[in-house]
Amino acid sequence: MVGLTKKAIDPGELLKLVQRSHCGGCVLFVGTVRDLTGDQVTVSLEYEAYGTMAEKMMSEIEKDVRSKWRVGDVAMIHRLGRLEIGDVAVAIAVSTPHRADAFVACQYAIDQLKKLVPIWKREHAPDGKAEWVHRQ
Amino acid sequence: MVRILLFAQARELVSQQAIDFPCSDSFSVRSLRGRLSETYPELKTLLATAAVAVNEAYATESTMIRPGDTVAIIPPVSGG
Repeated sequence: MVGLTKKAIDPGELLKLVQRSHCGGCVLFVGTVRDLTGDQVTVSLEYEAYGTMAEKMMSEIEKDVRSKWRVGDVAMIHRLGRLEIGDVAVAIAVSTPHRADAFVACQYAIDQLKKLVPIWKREHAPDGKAEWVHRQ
Repeated sequence: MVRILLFAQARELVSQQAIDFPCSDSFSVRSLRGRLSETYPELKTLLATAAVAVNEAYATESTMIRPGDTVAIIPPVSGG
């Protein structure tokens, strides 16, 4: 299951959602807002999405994960709107029968999300300036 | 006519959420980049690094855009 939300993400809930009796391994990735990127200090940020396409791409990533590994379940959620330092921006949980696949599949999912999903962040600096992050 | 959705910095540069682009025939994504850069020179630099989506799927330069399609300018993404 995949989705976008404007509300605070509870990573523990994602873990519960993907647990299955035949799965012995479950990996949860939590991405949080950090205050430093290189020399650049961030005081807060906002996420914006091309909503319909973002959800489509997240579903495709889920399908892709399921085709590559035998997973019990996959859950991916990304938060939109204004976030403060330390807030959870994204969480992905994957359950698999054995732990090795859970690690690899979860990493794959977040790597794909960062490459493909049309979501953008705008970082606010201490001097009040705000910039969209569009790195190639 | 084709509706072109703008996001993030693309939207800021043009101060519009969308552009209604007149067209009567199909044209390629490659051609769209050229035409948009001409009509909106402030978008030219961003367009060089942006992807284009047609009907919510990433397009290639040769993807054809038809009247009624929804196009989006996708600057380099930064989710996650």
